[in-house]
Amino acid sequence: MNEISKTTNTVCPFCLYGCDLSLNTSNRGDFLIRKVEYDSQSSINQGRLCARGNLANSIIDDKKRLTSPLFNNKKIDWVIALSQISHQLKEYSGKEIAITFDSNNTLEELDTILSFANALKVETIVRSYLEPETFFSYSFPDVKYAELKDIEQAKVILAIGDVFSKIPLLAKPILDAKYRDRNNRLFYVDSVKSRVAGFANRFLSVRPGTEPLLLLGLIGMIGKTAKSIIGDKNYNTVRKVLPSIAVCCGVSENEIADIAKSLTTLTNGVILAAIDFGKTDDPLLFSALSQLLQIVSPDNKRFCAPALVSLPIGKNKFGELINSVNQGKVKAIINFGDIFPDYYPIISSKLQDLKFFTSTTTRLHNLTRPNWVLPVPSLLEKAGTIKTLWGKANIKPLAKPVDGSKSISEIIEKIVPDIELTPKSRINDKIMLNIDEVIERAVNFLESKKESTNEITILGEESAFGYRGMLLEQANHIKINPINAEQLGLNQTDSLKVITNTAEKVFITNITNFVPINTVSVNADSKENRSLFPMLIDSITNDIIISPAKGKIVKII
Amino acid sequence: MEENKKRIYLDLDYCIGCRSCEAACKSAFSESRIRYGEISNTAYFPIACRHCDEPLCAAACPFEVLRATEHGFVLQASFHCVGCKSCILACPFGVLDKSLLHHVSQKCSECKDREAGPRCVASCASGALKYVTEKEVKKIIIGKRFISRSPFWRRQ
Repeated sequence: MNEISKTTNTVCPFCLYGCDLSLNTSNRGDFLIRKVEYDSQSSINQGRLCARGNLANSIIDDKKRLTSPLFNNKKIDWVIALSQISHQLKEYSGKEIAITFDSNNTLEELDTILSFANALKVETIVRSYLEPETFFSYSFPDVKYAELKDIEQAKVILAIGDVFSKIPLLAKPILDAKYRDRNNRLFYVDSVKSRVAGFANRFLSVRPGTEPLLLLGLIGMIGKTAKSIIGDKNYNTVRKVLPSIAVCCGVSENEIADIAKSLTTLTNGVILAAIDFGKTDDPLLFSALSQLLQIVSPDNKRFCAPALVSLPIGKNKFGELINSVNQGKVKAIINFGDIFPDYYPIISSKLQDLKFFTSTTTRLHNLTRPNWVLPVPSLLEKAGTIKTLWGKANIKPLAKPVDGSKSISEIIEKIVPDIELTPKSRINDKIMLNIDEVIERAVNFLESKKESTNEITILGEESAFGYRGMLLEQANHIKINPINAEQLGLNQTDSLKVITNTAEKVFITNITNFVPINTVSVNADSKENRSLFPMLIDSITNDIIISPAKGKIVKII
Repeated sequence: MEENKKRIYLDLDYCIGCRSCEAACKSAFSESRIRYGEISNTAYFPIACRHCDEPLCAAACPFEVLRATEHGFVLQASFHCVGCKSCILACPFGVLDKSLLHHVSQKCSECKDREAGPRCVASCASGALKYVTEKEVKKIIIGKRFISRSPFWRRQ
């Protein structure tokens, strides 16, 4: 038996941590065997990988990979497909087409997409990756971002949201920093007692969705530096509402003051903010206030947003796209990506009547019945540049593109011949925030939170091992507080139905006091569970806001 | 027991329950051979095969598929396995999974095909799993901070 083995190295493209990822490919007879390798010499991760990176080989060899273009769910030849698409696109003017992109593209490919848009005179270019973490694109000019060594040397770490689930690799530097000295502090703020709570010196359990309020409280408690940065008027406004902040987010003023004191007295520190799907009421405010907290914190504090992908914003917001679809202005969508529209069932249903051209790596579910589906290589089979928390990184292909797929530039060149592939302008990376507006929004948010309802709050939780539905046996479980369980007469593993305005689903009960009273929590990695959460258009910024759902729970006998 | 026999140890102070070990095993062998347990929601226990000095799984195997080698490993000759599940019932730690893959029970071989040691240890996202000898493990503080690390653990 002839065995030829080859190891290829790249940077893992699945989150912002930028781990070195190696794949060993060997031939055994006619079979290609791919195994992930762990290089203990690598500088960032020393061979350590999370579940996403570990499953790189199964993503390349996924049985669901699409290998031929589809037209209305029927296989069609590439040559015919491209000529027909090119012909069909001529029926629409530039204004009637919208181009969307998501996380399956390198920065170079985004440039190509932009020049494609220019060639077709398309004005609507929208990011279709709608996860709440994209709100970290909103930023203040003087935010200082953390490097890996800042986290390792931190004396105080404030984690808001489940950072371990977003990027498990961050656990090592965080825990190393915490264990190095007895006086080092790890604070954790979340509405659900998740895994980070088990390690934290102090865990503040806020009422579901009210994390931004706690951040506002911390800014108000910090004192001198906060006053000079946010201005006397804003500072006084925040100080005035401090008591109602404490009531609304369910944390006492003393506890907020304690954390603020540690942030002021301890020198080196990091503020980590992670947003899960359907966990925070106002992700924009969450992102803005966590960054503002870094700016107002004295001494050497840094900010880090553990998120899965960093993408440019696009020329327009997704809310604007939906509005123009409703007004009949946009009639066709060309989507370059992977997870849209499959991962957003509610959005997909709104775009059902449009002509759809989409690229994908795996077969899509029949949620929108897209008219044209074109197979493209996944990020693991591409070369190019991606963004990481520590700067830009180059990725190399780990394997040949899957049979029958064509790269985005190949597709674009066939549809629009003689296209210039470098665009004249680039898409914006960041939208700058204004402190006054943020404080005003926060105070309005506080007003809206004062009314309490008796409805059950349904929260979403994400996990690294739930990536693409692999190792995802928990998708059918629901976490419920023992008190609520007793009220409903529920036992462990009973069936429980959740009804929200948008969908309903039956779950298996998991009674735990890790969720507060009148709150249940479900896994947000699963596409089915995602349809429980409302997706609203923000009236000011036109972004899609995904917040915790309100609804009813019913025991099924 | 051999002095230099390396084993997979778990440092509870670092385990965050990300299940990276399980994914690494699954990615190499199609089915995970390391089990994952959870005590409430804040403490996690990946359970790997201990390669016992007197392996009960090997004793229970009717076809001598499982054998203890002279280097202290319990290895499986999968070709001869008939999937009778005796080893699964015999394992006192519940490490062997109930489900069979291709009618064969799934037994950890400490990644004998990889020179640098087990994949679960190499890939452990937080560095909680360690592949060391008993002597070395005594030098590392393992699990000392676990009980005291969080007041929420005690309040359960």
